[in-house]
Amino acid sequence: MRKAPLFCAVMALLLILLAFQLLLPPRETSALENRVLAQRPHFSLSALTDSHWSDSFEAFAADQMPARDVFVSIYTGMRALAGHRLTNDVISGAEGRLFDRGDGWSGRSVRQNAAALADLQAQTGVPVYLLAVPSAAAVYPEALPRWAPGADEGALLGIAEEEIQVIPLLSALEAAKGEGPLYYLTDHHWTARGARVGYLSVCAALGLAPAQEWPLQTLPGFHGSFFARCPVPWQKADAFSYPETAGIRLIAEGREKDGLVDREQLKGRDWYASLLYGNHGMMELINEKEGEGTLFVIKDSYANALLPALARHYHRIVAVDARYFSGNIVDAVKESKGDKVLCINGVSSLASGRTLALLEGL
Amino acid sequence: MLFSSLSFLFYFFPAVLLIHYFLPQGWQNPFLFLASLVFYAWGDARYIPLFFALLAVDWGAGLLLEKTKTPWRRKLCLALGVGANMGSLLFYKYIGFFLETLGLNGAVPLHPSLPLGISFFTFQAVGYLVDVYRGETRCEKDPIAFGTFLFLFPQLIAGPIVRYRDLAVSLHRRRKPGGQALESGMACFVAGLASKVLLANPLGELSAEMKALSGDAGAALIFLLAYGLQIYFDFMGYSIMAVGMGRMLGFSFPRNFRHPYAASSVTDFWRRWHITLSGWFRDYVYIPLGGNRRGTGRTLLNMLIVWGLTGFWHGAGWNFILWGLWYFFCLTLDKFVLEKRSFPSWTRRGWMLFSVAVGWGLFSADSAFGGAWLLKSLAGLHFSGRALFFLRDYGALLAVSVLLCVPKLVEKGKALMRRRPAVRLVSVLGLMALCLAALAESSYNPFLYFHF
Repeated sequence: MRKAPLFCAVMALLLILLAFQLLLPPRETSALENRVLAQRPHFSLSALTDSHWSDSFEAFAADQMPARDVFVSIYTGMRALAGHRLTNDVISGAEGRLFDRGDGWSGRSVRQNAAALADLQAQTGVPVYLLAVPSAAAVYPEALPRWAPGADEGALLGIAEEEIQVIPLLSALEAAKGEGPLYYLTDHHWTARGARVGYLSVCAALGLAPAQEWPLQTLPGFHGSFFARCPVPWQKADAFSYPETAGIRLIAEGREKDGLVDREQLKGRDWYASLLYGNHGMMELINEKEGEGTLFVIKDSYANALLPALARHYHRIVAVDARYFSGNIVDAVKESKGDKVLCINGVSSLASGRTLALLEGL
Repeated sequence: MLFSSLSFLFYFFPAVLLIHYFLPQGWQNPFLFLASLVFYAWGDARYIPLFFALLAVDWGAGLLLEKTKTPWRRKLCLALGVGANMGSLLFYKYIGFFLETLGLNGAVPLHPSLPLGISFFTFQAVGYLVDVYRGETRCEKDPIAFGTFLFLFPQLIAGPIVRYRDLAVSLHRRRKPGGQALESGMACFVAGLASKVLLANPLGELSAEMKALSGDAGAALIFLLAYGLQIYFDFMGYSIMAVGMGRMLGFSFPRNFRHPYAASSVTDFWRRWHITLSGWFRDYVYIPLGGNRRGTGRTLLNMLIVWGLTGFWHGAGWNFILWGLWYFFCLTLDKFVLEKRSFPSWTRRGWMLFSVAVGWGLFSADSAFGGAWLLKSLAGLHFSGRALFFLRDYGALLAVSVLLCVPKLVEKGKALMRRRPAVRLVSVLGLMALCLAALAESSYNPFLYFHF
């Protein structure tokens, strides 16, 4: 086949990849994509004409592609070189900062969720406060490319303010910008520093005297959720910080955890998920030494960076993640005997669906 | 199965091409027929019985047309054969549309799903029958060879519409393509794949983003540009993949596109766009109706029929019919006005680009007047920054796509590749790797012309 080198080269490429796909043991999960990978479906002659089977086979061929992560990085890198700043709904901004594309966020969702909180307040008689955490785009608009699609988060916060007490946060974040990164470059969450600003705002609203920061451990080389969607090979990594706490117990779904940070998760890819061992339907933080009273928290993942600091002030924090909690929220608040309810949710989740409004009891 | 899928590229394509190459003559057609059946039945074998029935009817009709000498019997044979094919096409593709138009879809809830490739299959079969009837080709006596012709997987789903006489010789000899055919065939195939995966698909993303920004005049213009480029690279990509695979199997398929956007007039555009389809309508509808040999009035009527049908062939919807009729209008204007007076060439070219743009506005709509959003947006003259963001984001892609529509540049590139085989090898291999990377990133990949 020396007369047809190109033909042979392309065939060789395809056959080598095929050989690897058939001979290498299949991967079970993709850490980068944070999902389970399709496995080879069982073959039978009749399966060839079944659309479910052929779809599974195609998924298998794609998911078990040899060096898949490398290929995906090559493609994303090529797109970035071609000038794309929007890939998989992630916007690439200045100095390696990545943003969520927010133009699908809706004021209607915000209003429905905030109204649900007001309903909770009315039903339980317990004051409800909302800490709506804006996304990095609201705090670092100068790093966004010009004309980038996005949401007016100030306006969304304004809508929430019409329904429930909203703890002022955006101006505090803007003021603290100079002291260091408040949001991760490669992840949609805030850093320990950003969470600290949130904590100080909560203290001001709830009338607590801010306590000293827990000592922070820092790990370089963090590639977060945005990177998973847009794995450009030359993306700057983040330095991930988590607190070293003492005297606080974490009980999640009835089981006590060892400390507040899941060390096993830190060996994987999604380090933010190590905080408070991820998201649970219901969990409790017990502080035996300091703190008094009970606080009820309705949270999403943004709270995971903030609650360890708040745990200093309360003997007990009962925290419910609206996405995973299946009980009646009104009863849960009453049973906890908390004297305040604090809702810590990202503006992104408040504006993307009626998660709070769908809680049972409201 | 889709050409631009990893199951095809890893499991079907290398195996079928390599096995076919090494098979002795008697085995090549049966193997190819079987492989094409597997390709077609992949994921959905519901319509195999229908296609086999049509295959049998067409093969039988072809034999009878050649054997019988009596004129009325030959006419009957032809009518039955054409009727079976067109009847199936009309039923499966258009019955829902007809019932809805007549308001009967409540009473008669018939909405059969569309067998993949039926438009190409039936047109190829009808072309064969008419050619045999006219004595322009011998009939195919070997049912396996005939089945191979109709089911040939490279062009079964998306064309080009191949004439039996183009394949007749190749079907009956041992196909062992030489080095040159393998090289150019593979280069064609990868170029087509890249055209689909690296150009058409991202252009499709851009069109979708622009459609979502309805109300913005800039978005409407960018939509027309992106959509026009997308549909070209999508369809042209599939066509040259078919040509490339045909070459590697020892067949010679006709080219379906010849730099259409470089056409000098609307008439010229249709000599460069979907060439096999307009050729089919010319030879099997326009000329039998009399063509332009029966006076101006009749010519106009014939053109109206042909273009209405051409539009209708593209889809069971009023927007497609309107698209066809729009071209009837543009072509008549071109033929009877612009061609006669000596207008400068840029006017004809400008009119061509304008008509094509309006055409895509009609074609891309979901309903007869679904394209109205484009008009409304353009009339509003409201330009937002959001469209500019996407223009910049896709700027390099748009520039490359537009440059690849210029024949001189493409020919220069091809000549460079011919002169330097090493550059060609590295480029093709690199393109294939990039295509695999793009497919790894997204495994689902619909082809625009698939509802045919």
